[in-house]
Amino acid sequence: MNTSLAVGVGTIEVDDFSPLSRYDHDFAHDLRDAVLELNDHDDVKVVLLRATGPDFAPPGAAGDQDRPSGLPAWRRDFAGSAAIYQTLCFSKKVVVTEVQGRCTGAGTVLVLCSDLTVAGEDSTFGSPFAAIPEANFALASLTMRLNRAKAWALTDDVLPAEQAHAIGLVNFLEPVDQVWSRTASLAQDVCRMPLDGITMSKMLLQAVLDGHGVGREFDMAPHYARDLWGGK
Amino acid sequence: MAAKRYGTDESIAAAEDQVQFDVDRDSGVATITLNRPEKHNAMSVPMRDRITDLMGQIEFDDDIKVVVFRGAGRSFCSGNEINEEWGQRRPHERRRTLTVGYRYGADMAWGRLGFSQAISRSSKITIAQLHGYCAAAAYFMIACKCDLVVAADDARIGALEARFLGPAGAVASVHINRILGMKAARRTGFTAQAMSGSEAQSLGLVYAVTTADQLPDVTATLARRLAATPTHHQQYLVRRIRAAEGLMDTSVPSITGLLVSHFLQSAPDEMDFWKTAKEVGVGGALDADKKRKGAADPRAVAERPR
Repeated sequence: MNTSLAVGVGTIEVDDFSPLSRYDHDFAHDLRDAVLELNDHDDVKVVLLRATGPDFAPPGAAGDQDRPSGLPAWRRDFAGSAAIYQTLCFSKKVVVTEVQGRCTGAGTVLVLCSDLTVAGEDSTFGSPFAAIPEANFALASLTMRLNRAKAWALTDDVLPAEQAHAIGLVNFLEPVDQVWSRTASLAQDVCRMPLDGITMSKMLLQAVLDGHGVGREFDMAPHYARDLWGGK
Repeated sequence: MAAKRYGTDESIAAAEDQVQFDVDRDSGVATITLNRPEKHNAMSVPMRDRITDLMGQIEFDDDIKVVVFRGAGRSFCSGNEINEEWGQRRPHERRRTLTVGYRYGADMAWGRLGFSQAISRSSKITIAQLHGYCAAAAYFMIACKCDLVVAADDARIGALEARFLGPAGAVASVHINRILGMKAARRTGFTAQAMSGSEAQSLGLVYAVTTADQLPDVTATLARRLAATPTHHQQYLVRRIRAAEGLMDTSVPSITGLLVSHFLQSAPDEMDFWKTAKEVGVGGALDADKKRKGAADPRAVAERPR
């Protein structure tokens, strides 16, 4: 995991984000800390999540770990209010996800928790709800509307980039070789905003998200987890 | 004590054939067919009661994984039957007492065990298969309450009742605002214009669109695919969706209750309204309605005693 800082943009780069889908606690902990550090950095207005490999978050191989080592550690590193997803969702800065290739499981949770998403035309988006109990359905519903989110969860359809763009999951869809430049351009647009304006806007957004049930849905994750993992 | 049944002896007896129920236990797909094609499958009170009962029965049938709603004939459903006498009282009476209409409205829509919530809170996956008209209650009490909607591209879907009934339920429904987005919900409610199946897909209501002749096959394929999901996993997904919908306050159809109790109480002289409307149009019927005996226009300014 590599964090760099340039002109208002804090970029967190990893090979891909699939370790989150495999409940790699160290990876989740390190990512959370990197986001927290950028949240409180006065020179940062944008937190960018980027995978340098061909896929943002590829599906795991058969036999991969698909559940955490225990519920207390899972709450600490994945589902709790101080864990990675809520740290991103309620970040003080504008969070941008840059997606290329396959985006499944926890990768899609990152997209739902981010403010803006730039995607390559080769990208695909799998529903996170089948395997990730901490995935926030209220965010999906707000992002793509209720029935689309329900259908995504129930059918487990993989959405191609064009469809993801059409229904609002992706802000900008670009040819693969232009994704980085589009992300840079978008980040610079955000960086023209005053820092206090960005942070105040994010504070206001939290109230809106909670008004729509996002916070309560995060709080439901332990119930969903027991339902998913306890019944197998 | 047996639950109160609403309706006439005839309408109650007819409901079993007007709402047909089939279960394919091999695939795990149940089908509820509205079968009143001569009325575009308009739902009488006993028809809705039967659907509520069936959903209760389905809830405890472990073989059933998916429920498909469909309509026989030219349309899915034109909404609630509005020319129906089933024990309502006249308007001046209902304002003094809690009449059967209000009790029924509460049972059907406000109560958590009522008609629309029997669908929206089902522990099974629900699919609406739409062709022809899907109007009024069929739109906001069935299609919008189902998990997935498959529609013919030329289906006519929407709150068409708002043209003549007054309340535009589609505007105020939290659920519909979540499904369509606020601007589209207002457009459908304030214009009462129908959406085609294709438009409803672009707005987010409809999952899949196809031609009318392929609609049954496309729906059946989807239903069988979903029913093949391992039971525990399907139940996990449905439970978490229902919980999240509750958090988002989408399952409380308050406006539906208001709307239903408003127009299901049509008394005999109010039913003359619809008969007149068919002959001379809604405007003429409104004029005639003002002249009927005992009519009181609540919008009129009463003369204040000196």
